Amino acid sequence: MIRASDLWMLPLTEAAEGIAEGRFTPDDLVASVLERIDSVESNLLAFVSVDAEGARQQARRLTRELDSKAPRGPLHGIPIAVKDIFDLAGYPTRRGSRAFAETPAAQADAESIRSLRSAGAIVIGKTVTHEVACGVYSPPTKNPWNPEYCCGGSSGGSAAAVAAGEVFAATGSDTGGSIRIPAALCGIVGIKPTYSSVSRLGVAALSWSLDHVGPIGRSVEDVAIALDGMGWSSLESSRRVWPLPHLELWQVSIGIIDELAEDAEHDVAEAFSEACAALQAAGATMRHISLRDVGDCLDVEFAIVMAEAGAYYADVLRTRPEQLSEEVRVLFEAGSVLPSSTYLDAQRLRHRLSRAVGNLFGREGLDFLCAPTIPVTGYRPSETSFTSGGRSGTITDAVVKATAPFNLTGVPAVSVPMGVSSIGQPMGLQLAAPAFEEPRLLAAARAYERVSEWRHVARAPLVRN
Amino acid sequence: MSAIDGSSGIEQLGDLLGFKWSVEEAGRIQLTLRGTVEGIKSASESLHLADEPMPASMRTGSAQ
Repeated sequence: MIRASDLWMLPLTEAAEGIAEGRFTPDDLVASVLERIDSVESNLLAFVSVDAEGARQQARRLTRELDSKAPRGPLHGIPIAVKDIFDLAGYPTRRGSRAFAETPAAQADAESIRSLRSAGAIVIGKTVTHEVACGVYSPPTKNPWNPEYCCGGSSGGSAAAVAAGEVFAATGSDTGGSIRIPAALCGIVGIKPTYSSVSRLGVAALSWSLDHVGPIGRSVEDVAIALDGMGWSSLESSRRVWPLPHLELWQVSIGIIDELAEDAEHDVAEAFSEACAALQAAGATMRHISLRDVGDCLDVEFAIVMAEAGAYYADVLRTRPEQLSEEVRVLFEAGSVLPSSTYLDAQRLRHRLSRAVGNLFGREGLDFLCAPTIPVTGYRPSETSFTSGGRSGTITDAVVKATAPFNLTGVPAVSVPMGVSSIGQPMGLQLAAPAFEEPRLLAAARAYERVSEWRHVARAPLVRN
Repeated sequence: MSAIDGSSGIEQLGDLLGFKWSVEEAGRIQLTLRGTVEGIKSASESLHLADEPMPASMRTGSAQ
């Protein structure tokens, strides 16, 4: 029997079972996570705001509801957090930017937040984002595994809060890897679903054609529940992600994308090799494949982000450019004068990549693709360059290299823990699937989670007082 | 006037669009722009992009 004060440690699935069976209430869960936040938040700095009283009120209402009704579903009474680029009624959406410091409170919830609340989720607060969701550091949030290291970004606050047990799940956004990168660096699970399968209404944009929103959680099943809660919908409106379908790994073929694994640091390469071996030992057919002939995805990603963000933030660039950091401002300003032919060619290159990935799932008969989520074991706030395998570049380029191709193609991709490096930082395995195949993708990720030894890692109390 | 012919060109283009960029700022913008433009140009040429049609949907680019 778990103590009431330790309820924050439970996986979301077990918290949902406890509420459904009447072993504890939403009041108990909220009290436990608020105590946890009191205990660790001063070291973690994952939140921009915590609404303790609002959360208690929501919990009381949802606890009373259980007197006369069954739970609404597995999210009934579950505390969650919201990245500060999602509108939350009554709160300003400050986007981690001085340019939006004085922005008025949102009038309504973002559509995905409305859906989560309707499913019974309790919003505890808003989490730190890297400036306008464009970056991989998310200051001032610390990595819960080691505060010397970055938690990743741009959904860094959400990932750190989930990993440290401050909430059971959180929302994130992902334009080049911003859900999967912090999930990998914080030792938890994050999914970027199929483009447009979760509403972006009420979420500040960065790049309209590359932005995705999705959940972060401590296990694959937790993420599946949260993804449904955010209103995931496929081409067939009746489909749901949860409960996950049964999937046997011996029935699937997985393509290992060689270029996305090259240049990885030694520990990441070794962990990825072990992950592939574990999948193969469980019966999956593993095949090495190449996407080399589609060109450099990074140039395509950045050309599109620059142009679209330059257009979206044109008013800020004209009226208060000094309120953006130099790094973000120059990128957006360059985007605002990027030749239209370059933008259109980038879209055509993207189309070529989409077709190549579509062929892997179609003609080549692969069910899933895999790669390390990021090639880096970890980085500190002051580190901006990365060298491995004789090549060097920026940390940002290195960490989005394996994630951005799935923003460009729009197919779903999930990061699951695949081990802890010699510096004590977690690493992530990325799996991708054809569009709208989230149920099978998450079923495969769960199957990996079960055959790997890392499934319980994220349940440990990660922040010491 | 070209967007990539020099910082003075960038400054003029910025003026046209309502931005106020200093010479130094225009230089930084040009540097960022050059890497991306050259990267896309190089990929387009090596992959014979002239034969590639424009995507039917510019919005999704989704591999469905």
